[in-house]
Amino acid sequence: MGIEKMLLVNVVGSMSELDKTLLRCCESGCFHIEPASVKSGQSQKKGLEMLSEKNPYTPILKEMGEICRRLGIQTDKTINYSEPGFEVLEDFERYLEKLKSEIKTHIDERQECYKEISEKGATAKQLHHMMGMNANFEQVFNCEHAHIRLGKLPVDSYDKLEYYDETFFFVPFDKDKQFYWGMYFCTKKDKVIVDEIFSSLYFERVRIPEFVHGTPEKEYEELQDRINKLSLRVEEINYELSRISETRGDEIRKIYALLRFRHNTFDLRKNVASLNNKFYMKGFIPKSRSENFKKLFSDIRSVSVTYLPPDSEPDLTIPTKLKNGWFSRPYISLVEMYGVPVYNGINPTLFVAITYTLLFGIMFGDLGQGFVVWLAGLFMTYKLKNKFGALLTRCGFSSMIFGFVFGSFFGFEHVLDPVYKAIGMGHKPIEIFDKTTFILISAVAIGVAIIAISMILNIITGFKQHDYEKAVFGCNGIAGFVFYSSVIAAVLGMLTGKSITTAGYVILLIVIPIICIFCRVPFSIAVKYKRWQLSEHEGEGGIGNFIVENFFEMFEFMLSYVSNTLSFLRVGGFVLCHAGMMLVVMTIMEMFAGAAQPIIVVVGNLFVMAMEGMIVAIQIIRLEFYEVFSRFYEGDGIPFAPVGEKLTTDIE
Amino acid sequence: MTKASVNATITKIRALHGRMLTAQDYKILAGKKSVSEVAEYLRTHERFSHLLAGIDANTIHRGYLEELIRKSNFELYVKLRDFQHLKHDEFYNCVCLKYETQQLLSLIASILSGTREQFIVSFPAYLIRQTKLDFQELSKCQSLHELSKALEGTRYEKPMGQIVGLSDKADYLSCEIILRTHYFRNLLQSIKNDLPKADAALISKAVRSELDVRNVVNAYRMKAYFGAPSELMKQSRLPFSKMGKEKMEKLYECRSAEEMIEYVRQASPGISALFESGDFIETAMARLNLKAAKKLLRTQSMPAVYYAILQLCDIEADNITHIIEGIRYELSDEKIEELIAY
Repeated sequence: MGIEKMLLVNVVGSMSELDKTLLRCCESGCFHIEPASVKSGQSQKKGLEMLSEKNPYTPILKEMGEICRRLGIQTDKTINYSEPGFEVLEDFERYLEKLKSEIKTHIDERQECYKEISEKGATAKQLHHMMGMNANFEQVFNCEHAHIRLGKLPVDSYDKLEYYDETFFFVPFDKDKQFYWGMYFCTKKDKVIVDEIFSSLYFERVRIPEFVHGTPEKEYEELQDRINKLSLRVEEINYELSRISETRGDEIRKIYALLRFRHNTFDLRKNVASLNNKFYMKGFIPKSRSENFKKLFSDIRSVSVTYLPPDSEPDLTIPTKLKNGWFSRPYISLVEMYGVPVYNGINPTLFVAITYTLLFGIMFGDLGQGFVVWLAGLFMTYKLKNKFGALLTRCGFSSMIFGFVFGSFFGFEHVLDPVYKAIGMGHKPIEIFDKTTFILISAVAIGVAIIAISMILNIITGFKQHDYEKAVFGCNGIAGFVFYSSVIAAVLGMLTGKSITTAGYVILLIVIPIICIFCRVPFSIAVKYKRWQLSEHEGEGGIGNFIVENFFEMFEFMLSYVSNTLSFLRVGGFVLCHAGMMLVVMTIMEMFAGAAQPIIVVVGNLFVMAMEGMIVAIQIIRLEFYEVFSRFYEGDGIPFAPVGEKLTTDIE
Repeated sequence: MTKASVNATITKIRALHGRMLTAQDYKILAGKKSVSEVAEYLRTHERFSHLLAGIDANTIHRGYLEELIRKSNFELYVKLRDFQHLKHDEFYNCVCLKYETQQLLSLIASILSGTREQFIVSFPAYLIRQTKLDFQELSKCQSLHELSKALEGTRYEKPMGQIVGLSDKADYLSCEIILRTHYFRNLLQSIKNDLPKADAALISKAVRSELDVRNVVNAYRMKAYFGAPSELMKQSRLPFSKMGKEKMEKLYECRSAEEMIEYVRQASPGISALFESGDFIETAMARLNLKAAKKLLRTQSMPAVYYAILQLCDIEADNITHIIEGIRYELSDEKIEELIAY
């Protein structure tokens, strides 16, 4: 549970060695680059100039990416980017040209097929609506005295045709929800007026392509034949392309990864400054890697690496790299959802890991279901390579432990009784429905402990950051902690009949902390700057404003102590809820005959696991974020992002 | 109707209102450059996606697009009416009465101008299944006298008798006043007879306010485009005002159209707030209707909510028509927005 110590590193060398140096930085996997000049104008002052060249790898990368997409080659994962024979841009260009010549004919032909399928398909769709015509198009369009138009007429307009006295016919062949598909006839002399009528009725003409001559049925059939043939050809081409992809997929993927690596490395140049044919770059590396990092450049004579304390440049924000053990590592993603801690802050991952696992176990306590979750976690970790699998194994294990405590095994509440007897316990430790009060009080007690620890973490962070308002006088500082724990102790005393609330206790442990919280801003200013001032900005508001503002804030603090504590009641609530839901499953099972019972148990368990598991997981995240993180965690840091890290999984 | 079913319908109507076009949608639509773009946008909008699913946005005619939207509104009225089994309730049938009146006026206009085809083209075929009038037969009438004869035995016998009684003086304006007065009289009567007192008071107020809007806009147009004298405006006024006869007559006495706008603005701070710089009076008045309809929609009265959604759907369809017209006449986005009530 900690944050990796960092060093600021300056790398200087000859311009001719820049590419090589950048490559080494990427390969190191531990170099977080920063712009060589942060302040605007600083570079000009020193005569440094930031490099801003057009990336020559961009067009070729784009083209190669397109080819990979067409061949269906996955480019997300890389295997290794150290491919021999690809040193300069021209090597990639040559490779791309060769690859293009191999697949171009196939891709062009496939494109043509798609185009023709689309055209023929559109015509076939229209011809399908004309199936009832019973005449061939050539005859229809070559009539000497009749004027004919094919198309579609809105349903409403069709109803209005009867209103007209003019001599024309509309013959519908097909109808859908909005249109009648058909043709209208009139004599050639009435052509203009009838066209106008149909146009005013929103008749839309269908233009039959020139290649269509016969009856709609015959033409439709021929078109379908052609479409089928084209589709077959597309399949053949796809097969040929997939063969290329299969035989050369790995090679293409490797080259693409290498090309992307070179492209991204070149992009890093925009962070580099130059002066007198020398380059300058800076960044952060973990202190533990400093020796190895320096060694990487030992064979490049012109390059020198200098280490400085991380805070030696105040304009730079030091990145945060969280250090976590095997147990807490899977919980990083939960913490990062809220934000990364600042460099001189606290890494809360272990705290989250412990509380999350504990709460999940309590709220989802079932030995059998926990085992299934654990197995699912193992499957996700080792088969699916999903990072959430590790989280599930921990939660599942915790669930098994608490399932044993509650004596629950897939909802069977007494199946573990012989085990308890065998180990000399006689009966299960907690009978849920007999100890509801105990469960709810314990849930609140857990909440109190978690909140108190959160306050302690806040005090530590406050002192680390020299923020006395946060550490001493704030509602989560020493004053808040004393007040909260004293009130809890007083309430406990009242409940157990041992009153400890003497006048001295109240004044010292309750009233004085309240005054400290109320006056936290002036007190912290007094400690820090040795002067009395009501707000951080001089002259801002008067005493009245100060009292009103802090009165309402105090009200909010008090409310949050109560609501945050009671919020943990849900932990107990879910214990009861889980037991209740399984009781329902068992009751339903008993209502059915023997053969159906196993099915009901399995389905019921799956349902409870899916629904309750998800709700519990979300509820704990909510508790962590609202009740815990809000007390000490700011998440304003920037993550440590070493260059080149995303490009490979091999190096490190 | 049970309380639960009324609540269900009110919820259904409010949900529908939630899907209607918003100010943001109108702003986007006003920025479109062609009818196809408008159709494409509407096709992807939740409110119209079902209606426009089968159309080709690239080839759709603007008239057809408008007709589809109005048809969908009409079908909505019928659906809501039938959903609550209110077919035999006169108030809920007044929508048909409104459409019939509009079509009779359109027919009269085509008879007076001798352009029968114009009527057929604009006639909404979806009305055929909901009306007892045989418009196919009516469309064959060559004169107002023939039309009056064809309408004997229907509820339009009396107003048509009035029109024929005017003999030579029966122009379109007088026909419009007679038929619209007939419609609004029937509507107000059905509100009074069929609805509980509280609901009736609420809707009656909204109808009278709508009539005021209509009268103000008509008077303004007569003054602005034809320089009509106050007497003519008084004659063309529809009765049943909320504003009051006295105030209306003062409006007619205004010497110019600008003075009329100023008078309307001063008549109520509420109306004044609906005007923005450079706005058309029609837009401001439509906003007044919109505001009244939204107020009705928030009530717990089923007939009021029903009436409100009819108004809101009509205003929405008008807005789309204005946008399409604006695009056709190549107006700027800002000018189109001035035509829209939202």
